[in-house]
Amino acid sequence: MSTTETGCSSTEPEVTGGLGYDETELTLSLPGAGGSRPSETDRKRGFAETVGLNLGAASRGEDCGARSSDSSDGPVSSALKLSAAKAQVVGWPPVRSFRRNALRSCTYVKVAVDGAPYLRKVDLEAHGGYEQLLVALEEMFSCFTVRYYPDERRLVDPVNGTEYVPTYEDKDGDWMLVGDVPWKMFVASCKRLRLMKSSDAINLATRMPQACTNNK
Amino acid sequence: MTEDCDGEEQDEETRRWSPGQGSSSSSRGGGSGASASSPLKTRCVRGRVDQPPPFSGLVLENVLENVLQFLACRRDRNAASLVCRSWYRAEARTRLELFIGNCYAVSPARALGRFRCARALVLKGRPRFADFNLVPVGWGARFSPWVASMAVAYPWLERVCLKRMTVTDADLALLARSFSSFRDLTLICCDGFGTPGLAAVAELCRNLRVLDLIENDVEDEDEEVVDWISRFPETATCLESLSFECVNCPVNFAALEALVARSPSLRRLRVNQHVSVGQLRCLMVRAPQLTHLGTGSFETVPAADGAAELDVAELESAFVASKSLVCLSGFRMVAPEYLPAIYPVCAGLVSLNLSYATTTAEQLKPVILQCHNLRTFWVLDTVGDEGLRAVAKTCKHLQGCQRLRSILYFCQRMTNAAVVTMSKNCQDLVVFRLCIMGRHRPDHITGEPMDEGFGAIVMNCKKLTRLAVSGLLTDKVFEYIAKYGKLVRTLSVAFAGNSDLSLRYVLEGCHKLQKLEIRDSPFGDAGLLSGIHHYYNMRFLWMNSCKLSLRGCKEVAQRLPRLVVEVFGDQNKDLDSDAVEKLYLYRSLVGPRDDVPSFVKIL
Repeated sequence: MSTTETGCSSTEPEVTGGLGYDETELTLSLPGAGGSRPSETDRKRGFAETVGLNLGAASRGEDCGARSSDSSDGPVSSALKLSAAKAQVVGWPPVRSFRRNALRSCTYVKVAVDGAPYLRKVDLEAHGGYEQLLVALEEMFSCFTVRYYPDERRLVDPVNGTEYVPTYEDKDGDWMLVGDVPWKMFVASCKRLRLMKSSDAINLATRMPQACTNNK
Repeated sequence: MTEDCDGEEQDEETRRWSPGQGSSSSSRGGGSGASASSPLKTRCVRGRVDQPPPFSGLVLENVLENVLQFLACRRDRNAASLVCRSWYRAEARTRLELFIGNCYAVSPARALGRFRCARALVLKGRPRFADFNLVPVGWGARFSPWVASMAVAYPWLERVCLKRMTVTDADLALLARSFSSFRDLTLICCDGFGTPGLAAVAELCRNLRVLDLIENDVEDEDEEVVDWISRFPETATCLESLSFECVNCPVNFAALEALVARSPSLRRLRVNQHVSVGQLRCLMVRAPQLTHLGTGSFETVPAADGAAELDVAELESAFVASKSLVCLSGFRMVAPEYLPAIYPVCAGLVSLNLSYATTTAEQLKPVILQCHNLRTFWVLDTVGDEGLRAVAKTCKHLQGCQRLRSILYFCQRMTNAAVVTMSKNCQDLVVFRLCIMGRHRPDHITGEPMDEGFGAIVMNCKKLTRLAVSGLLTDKVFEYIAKYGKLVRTLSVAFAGNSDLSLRYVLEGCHKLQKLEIRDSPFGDAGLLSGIHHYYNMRFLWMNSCKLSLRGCKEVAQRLPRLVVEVFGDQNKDLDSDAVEKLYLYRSLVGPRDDVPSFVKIL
């Protein structure tokens, strides 16, 4: 990723290039809402809104369509999707999590990693979809990378090759594989996340094949 | 290279730690606790490291110690310790507060070995960008080795303040068990502990005066929540300050109320959002002597109370009775109908924090118009321009902004003209942090980069020590900062600059620079290497998502052996395996740390 003459950051993804300042507009819009793009002369946006749902353009409608057919995509488009997801920049604007949590209703869930002694929390609402959630997990546990399989995604620890399957506990107390249900349904029902070693995950409920196309 | 000579401006939390204040408050209230005001009476045994000085030298050291005990400022002490070996020893014996700005710059053994009589420790761990999830989990900054060493070396320890450290329940239990005079615990932006650790502190620290938990990540599995409030001694306590806004689980209110009732010295109470406004009123009635109050939710929580909704008049009478209140914060949910209840205390308020409340201008005006004595004010943009005008009109100490010393401002967009105006009106600014949340945003009227605005700040605000820049910025702004920002100690850069020139300007021009944190800016090895002459004078440099390579970072590590150079970050290195995603370098007296996680490489 090259630097433009105006000094754009090297992490500005080229896949969403050409969006100019709109791309950096932090808005309240939920993913898939499409809706009105804020114009440059728009009214000032509230701090609380901005901090509360930190979604860039990449999380909006145009990407959701692409993601739903990711089951057959190879590594190239995975990289594209990753960089699109990264347009939502980690840690920007620089507001501590305490304040972020306080300014809005919380969909923070705990994330546990098998074999690791610490717990982290991730805010489900802050992400537009499964891709972005995985990116956030990747960033959080920076030793992991995302590996894409036909029907699912796994996180891999390259140091020892251990694969982790993202799973979650839903409202009924069942442990499910992340990615099975539509995103919004997942956000509403997920109580906590667990990165389970894939060797332990074989007993989890198998998925319905058509569930993939519902993913956002 | 001396021990930490950091130059940062002190937060409110750390400002409370200057030994002078410690002594004055220790004389009040009951309880034991060796008084910090008379170190001569409680001087500990001298540990000789080298040849004993000649007799006259001994006398001189005694005299020197009597003098040095009055020296509070750590930078003065650092200077004094450099005069000669005798001064070094005398200073080491009389230093009561140990400030360590980077826990990896020195080891517990080394620090405790030099300062044998310290009664207070201030310790900072992770770099600040960890607050924004830029430092991966498990990176380090553990309190464990420190508390283990202090349990042996400082049995008289009284105070600990930690920032961005990982503190476990076991650490807190060890702390509580090991120091019979322990009185002050302040944890800021820490993690790793939960209510079990708090319970140990409450139960075992019989002389506890201060328990301040500020913006920590308090982890509790639901099944493991402990009723820590009930663990305080059942007799009268010495508590002066209790802050637990960041503890996410509800506390036992009956126990809290009883605790407040038997804590006659309590002056500062900041509760979490699970305390309803009705419960708050009960607490205020028990403690009308409070000076600092964190109000919790400030709304009725229907299920919790069980009682009828609180009448505003009742709440107001509680505020009327709180004649000493100077600092008000909390307001986590703030039901607007309760806000007028605070009118009786507004005139006495020095500090008001409404930054968690979506207050409108209409709601704010009647409040702010009475706050003539306000010096510190936090508010959200929901008050709008009209609200801010009311602030400017009333708060003479903020009025015209002439006396403003610190601005932290988030906005979507900004103009150079506005920033220039700020720089001219507020020439006393010490801290200026402007966050234009839209990345790379130019002046929204002229379309120009924001260089001139920030340039005016460094030019006109001659006392500026801390600066955070944002918006569309070219190398030019860094040229200004280098030329005029001669006192700048902390600089925060995000999505800015064109080239390595920016970094070179800053590293060559800002002679007082101590802390530099940079993200997502096109600075590479050439820029990094231009700071070789200065890195030993800094506490740290952090860079992520820039254009650094392993080669450049290795060269820095080779040329500066007393620097620890850590690289870590994404494993997505398909394109350029030499690219460094995250760099954190810092001077250290003890070389590479031994608790490095697998994703960190020390060069």
